Amino acid sequence: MDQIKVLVADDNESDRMILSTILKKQGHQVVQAENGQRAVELFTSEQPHLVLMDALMPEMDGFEAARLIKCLAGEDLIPIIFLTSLRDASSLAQCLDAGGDDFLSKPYNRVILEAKINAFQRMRQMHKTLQKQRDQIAANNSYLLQEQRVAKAVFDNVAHSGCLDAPNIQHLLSPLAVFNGDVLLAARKPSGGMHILLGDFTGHGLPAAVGAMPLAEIFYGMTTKGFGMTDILREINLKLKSILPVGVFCCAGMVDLSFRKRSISVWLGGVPNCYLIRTNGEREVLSSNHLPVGVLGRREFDDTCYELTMELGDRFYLWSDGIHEARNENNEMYGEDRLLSIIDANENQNMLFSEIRDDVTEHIQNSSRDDDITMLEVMMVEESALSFENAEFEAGAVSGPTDWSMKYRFGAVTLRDFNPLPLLLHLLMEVPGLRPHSGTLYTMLAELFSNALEHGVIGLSSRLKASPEGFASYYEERQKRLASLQEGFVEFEFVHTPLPDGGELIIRVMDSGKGFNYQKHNTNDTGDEDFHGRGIPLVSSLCQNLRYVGCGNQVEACFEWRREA
Amino acid sequence: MNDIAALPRLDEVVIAELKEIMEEDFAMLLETWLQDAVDRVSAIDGSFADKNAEALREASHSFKGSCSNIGAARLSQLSAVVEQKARDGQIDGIEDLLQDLKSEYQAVKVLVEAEVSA
Repeated sequence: MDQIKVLVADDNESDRMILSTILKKQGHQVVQAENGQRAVELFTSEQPHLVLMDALMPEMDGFEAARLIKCLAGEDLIPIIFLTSLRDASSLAQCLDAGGDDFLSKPYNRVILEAKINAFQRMRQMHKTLQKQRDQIAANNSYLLQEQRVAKAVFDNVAHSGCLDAPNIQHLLSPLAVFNGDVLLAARKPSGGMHILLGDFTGHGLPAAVGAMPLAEIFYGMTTKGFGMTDILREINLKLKSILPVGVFCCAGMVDLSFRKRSISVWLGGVPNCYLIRTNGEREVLSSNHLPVGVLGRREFDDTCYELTMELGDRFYLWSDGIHEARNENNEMYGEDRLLSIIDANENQNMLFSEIRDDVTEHIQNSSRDDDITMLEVMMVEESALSFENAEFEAGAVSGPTDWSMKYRFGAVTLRDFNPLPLLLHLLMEVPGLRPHSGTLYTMLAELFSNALEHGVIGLSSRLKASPEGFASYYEERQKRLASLQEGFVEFEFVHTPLPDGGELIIRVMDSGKGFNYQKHNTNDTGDEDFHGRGIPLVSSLCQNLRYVGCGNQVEACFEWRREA
Repeated sequence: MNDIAALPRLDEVVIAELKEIMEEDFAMLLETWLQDAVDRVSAIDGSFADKNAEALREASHSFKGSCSNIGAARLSQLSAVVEQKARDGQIDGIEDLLQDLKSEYQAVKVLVEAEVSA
């Protein structure tokens, strides 16, 4: 054992002599105090490692001195051994209460004294190691927290750059740690609609957040470029499958909301039942019918969506299993029954979101949370109720092609499952003057393309879409016919011509269908269902001129743009 | 009191051990004890005369410890009885007990002085 410095405090000189001699013979350094007051002074000036303290002394007794010394020692372990001939339990307890660690009774026994000193030496070493390790852990932890703060700031910039704050959205994201296993993303589409994605990664913390980064990147990047929901889902699925380890995946629900069509497409993979609640209180329950993203390969991945109409004021609810699995003190999960009873009891739909949130919060009250609680409500509103930040679609470059034309024809095999709109929009965006109009152009392209594909190539009648039931069967039929498409094409032709203060873009779309009787529509007769179904008034309103030619399987739109002053 | 009488006046085992521990300082230790004992005994006397139970308790407690350390077992035990009386506040009529303590002290003193000059 190492030699240490021992403070001996005893008012009896002969007792001090005996103890000091024993200690010196054992190789320790000794400091002597004849009373408590002196003991405290010597403790401060000499900084001994161990204190042998008589209980009853003049000036200041051993109890008071022990209390002060323990206080001065702070975090350091300075064992205090009381020297006592006290025998009764309450006196011994008083020694311990004052901060004493052990007793040594008179007459002194040097063997016992040596054993005690050695035992406390081991304890002191252990305490030192512990303190060192604790400080090391604290330093590591603060370093880690600092790193996480920086990473979280980056993550927040990527993940929360969207439109979660739009007036038709209410959401709740409660993080368990600095990072959160849940992701909630929302972004406006160039066409004016909205994409929403709720993801719940297996696990929490860093591993979950790491997967969320590429997910958010793909979601925002592809949405901005005009890709459709299923393309985005496929890309996310492939990306996550390739980067996440086996057993880590992402339960997800994605929504494609169209304000103009008053419709909603929903894809659910591994999330709890979601509800569409209509203004009259009617409820449609949508169950997850896919595996989470990041599990299946390209071929197995199924992008079939629920297609529903959604009227003004209808609300769609999306959540992670955090709500259903939230436990109370008795370890009971919140469950879907409680959720449904809250919805059934609701009287004012504007309050439903906060009612659910409050009820879940009350349920978990005193128990420690064991999952992230994430939920979102999105309501169908007039598009005009939302402001559209167009900044992202603007760009700085000034030069670019001005006088050019091109034709791009898509054949049957490609049309089965390829969405050409992002590609086409990308081509048009090479013209800097067109960039501020990406939303308008995308909408025109989207309408004209879906007319050409759905009514032209596969010959569906828009009349089907008149009722909610027909709406669903329209999409079923669309998918069926597309999957087995053997022949047909859609051809786009762009002709761009510079004008003194801007430019003119002619868009011609031709399809392999048999056309339709457009004559009466060109003469301003707008009473026909077929006409309305084709979204022609919408496209007309967006461009300078729109006309059908030939047998009705060709359409030409003229879009003029002016340079901003 | 019988059990007190059964205790050694000066425990030879303790004395032998102290010799071994203190070596050349053994005589000095005993001299220190003898000096200290004069103060303690007069403090016991004085505090009893003043009817100061607390002072009597402290003096006898301290004397009890130092006696036990040099092996004066009987004197240590007598001090312990005085300390207990003082703690209980029953210090009236303990003149005989104090007389016993002082007689024992005188006897121990002779033995210790013999050890010093040995």
